[in-house]
Amino acid sequence: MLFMTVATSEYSEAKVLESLLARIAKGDKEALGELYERTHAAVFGFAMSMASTPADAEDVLHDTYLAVYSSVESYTAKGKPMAWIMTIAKNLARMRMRKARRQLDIADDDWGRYLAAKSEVSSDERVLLQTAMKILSDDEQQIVMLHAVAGVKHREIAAILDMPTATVLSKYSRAIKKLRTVMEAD
Amino acid sequence: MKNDKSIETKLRSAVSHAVPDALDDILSACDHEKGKVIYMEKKRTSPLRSFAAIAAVLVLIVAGVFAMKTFGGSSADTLAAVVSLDVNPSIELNVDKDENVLSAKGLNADGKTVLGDMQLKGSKLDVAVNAIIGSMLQNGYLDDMANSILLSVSGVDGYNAETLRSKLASDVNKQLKDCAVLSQDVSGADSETVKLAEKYDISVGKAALIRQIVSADARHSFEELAPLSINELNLLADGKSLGTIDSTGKASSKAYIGRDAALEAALKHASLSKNDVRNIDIELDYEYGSMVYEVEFEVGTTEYEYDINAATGEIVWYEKDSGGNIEQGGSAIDGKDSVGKDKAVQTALKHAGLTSSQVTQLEAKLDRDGGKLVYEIEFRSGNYEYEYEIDASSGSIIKSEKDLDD
Repeated sequence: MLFMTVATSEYSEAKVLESLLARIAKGDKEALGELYERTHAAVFGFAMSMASTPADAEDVLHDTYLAVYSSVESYTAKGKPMAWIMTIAKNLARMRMRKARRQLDIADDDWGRYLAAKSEVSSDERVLLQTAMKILSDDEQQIVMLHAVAGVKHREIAAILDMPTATVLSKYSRAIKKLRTVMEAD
Repeated sequence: MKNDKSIETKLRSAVSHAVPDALDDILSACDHEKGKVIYMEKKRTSPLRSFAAIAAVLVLIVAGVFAMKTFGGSSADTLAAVVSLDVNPSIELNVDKDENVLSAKGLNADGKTVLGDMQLKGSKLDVAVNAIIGSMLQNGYLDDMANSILLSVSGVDGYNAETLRSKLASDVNKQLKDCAVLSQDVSGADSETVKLAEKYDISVGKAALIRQIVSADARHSFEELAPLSINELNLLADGKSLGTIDSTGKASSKAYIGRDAALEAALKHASLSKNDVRNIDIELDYEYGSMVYEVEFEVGTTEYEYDINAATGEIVWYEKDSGGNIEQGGSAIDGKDSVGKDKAVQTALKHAGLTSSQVTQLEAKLDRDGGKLVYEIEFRSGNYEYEYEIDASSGSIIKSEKDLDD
């Protein structure tokens, strides 16, 4: 029964996003706003896992919605709107990474400052996010953000990141385990 | 599990608190950007987009299929060959002598899913095959846990199916790294194969493959193997002669626990260690409706045989034979032997027209036959040797034999 409920809610969320995309295709900016509200945390989480600095992540977030708006006609309704949006975010982040690679330690400080400046982020949450960025590999961060935060299915993650589904599954469980061990030890 | 969830929930909440508000900037930028920025592939390519690395190149080819639909493929040539692709999805393509696809059909529900709304009619066969494999990858029917594909070609009116088979097989091998390709020419498939294919609603090619496996290993029955995927069949076929079926690559067993884990499970159940036992034999098999590791070993004069569920490690069936003193159990038979040994023996004796006092050397053993639980009963009377197989769940006689013993 629980499974049914989950499946239905995922299904209807995809439907909602698809109907928003259809409205955006007609130039409806209100629909873009609504799409943003529903998905921007997920996109930003994924951007955090790919971008080395907060500024880069913010740019990826910004450019993703711009790209959604300008290329929405290329979306084919297949029930996977989130995977489509995340693919755009991934492409943008990769282009950006090629342009500018920064020192990791500098980036670390940047994130610390960025998160500390966000009043909504509790200190526990700051520790969790920084720990995740520190102890998880890039792949693991991306997979965790896509699944835990954005709710993208493992199979779709495999498609977005060009990986076998089994790899995604094992990386995900390993990452969550690592994160849990470290967080519980603290 | 609960902890996983709480970490996930915490992450979700943390990210939602960390996200900047960029909406106003985005909305104002949109006014300038509409129609300018195209980050995705160009419009009206395919619904297939961005999947596994091995399929990346196929995306372009799929786009080609859609182009074909618009620009070409108007030849109305007659059917020259039928090509079927089986993984678990089963798809059949009818082609003309120039290898143009005349029609494409999903033979089962998965096959229909794979085809989706792809329009393959009019495209070249190799392009269509690429597109189908791409869709199979995207839909998760082919991956590193199930990497086997069966290509079957049937020629019409003397069309050279063998040439086409070898070309397609090498194409698929090139495109899918680490895959296992089985291919065959089924132009000469006999009526029995065609009948079985129809009866079990599978392709003729798959029916031919199953018949080969059954004839190489009589423990299996066609009925039992019909629902299996090509990867499972390919695993069962490993090391067996497959007649005219060409086989390249190795079927993946990554979805399974592995031989070592299976042996460990069996030893643990028997309360033995690896050093205690000899003559260890482990083989992947299909019993009681699931893939199992058949594990055998001996201690002194005692023989152990285990069927370990290949995916879960559960003990499906086991037998401990200490010089004829047989102990059996496992999830497949526990509580499923509704007939009972005594009743089974009575059934056999009644059929033979004998009473227990008239027979000698009576032996009754619970065994399995093609995934079915049966009693094997043997006895002698006068100069005759009797052999029976009684269905352990229904009590009906499956087999009866009476031989003159001289």
